Amino acid sequence: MSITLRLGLTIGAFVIFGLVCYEVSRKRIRVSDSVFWVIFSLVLVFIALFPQIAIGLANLVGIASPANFVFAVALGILIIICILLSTKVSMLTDKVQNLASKVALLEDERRRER
Amino acid sequence: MRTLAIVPAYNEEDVIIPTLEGLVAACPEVEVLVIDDGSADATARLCREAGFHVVSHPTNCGLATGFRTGIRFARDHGFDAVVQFDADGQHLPEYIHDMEAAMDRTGADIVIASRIVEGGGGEIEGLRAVGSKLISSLVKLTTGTRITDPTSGFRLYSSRLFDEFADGFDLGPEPDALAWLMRHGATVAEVPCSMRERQGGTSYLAGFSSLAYMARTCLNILVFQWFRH
Repeated sequence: MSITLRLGLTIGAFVIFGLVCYEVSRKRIRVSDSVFWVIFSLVLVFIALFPQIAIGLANLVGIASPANFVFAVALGILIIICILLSTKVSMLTDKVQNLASKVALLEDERRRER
Repeated sequence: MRTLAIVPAYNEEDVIIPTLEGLVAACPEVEVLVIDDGSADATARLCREAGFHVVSHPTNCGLATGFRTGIRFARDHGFDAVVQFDADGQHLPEYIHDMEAAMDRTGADIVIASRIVEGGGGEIEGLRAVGSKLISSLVKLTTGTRITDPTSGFRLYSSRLFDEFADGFDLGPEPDALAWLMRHGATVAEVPCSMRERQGGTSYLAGFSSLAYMARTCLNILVFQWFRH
């Protein structure tokens, strides 16, 4: 694994961590939703510090270059996260639609009572 | 002291009525507000039939939102304090008087009923005890104050904190929020208590979600508190 890639991973990790901290301080992300990204950035630093892990795992699954292995795994994880986020957005959409219709009916009831 | 008991309930039809009856029998002067968090079972109906005051969320929103609803009600109706009281029968209502007395005596913003402090029942074991100890030491490290039982959900909050809980972002009745409030000047007292086994229903902290809970709590206490204002 080249020193450039290791450096890149480390910088990437710090950027992710910094951005998450910034969003938490701006009150735009809940702490429970930030846990994944903090762990993700820790894993990136870990791989940069100990490239033997990536090299060993790449050999194990038969990928020639550990860099490709790192990219493939990162891509896989991010796709899964995207799908999970899609389900979350869908559930939230459904909840908001339900809430809007319930509030609308309640207001209508109240207006008629007056 | 005018105290409101907030009883968040999600699918607790098996246990909620005995819990509420015990609460009213032990503390007739405490007003009770059940927050039905979008239960799919008969929780809300049973409580209303028994004459209890129930607020129902139109959809399931989680414990923190239920607590927030209760805090908003308490603020709107001029209560001096709220006590968080579990629907599952774990909490013994007799201790509410001790908690109120401790708040009067010490002027603390939060009084926790602790199973661990001298004289407490000590009913916490296994992995929960390990997690509780870890959170306790992190709180001590970052705030300088020891809370012996940070995961006890049996807490009395003074009206001085109502605005913070009602209008704050991502602030629920959890140990990491306690640590944040303490770092911003809130004071905490503890009174010894015993707790029962839950009398029914299931904990929202089981399996994987307890890991996520620990991760969030530790991360919040150790890292994010420094960025939050």
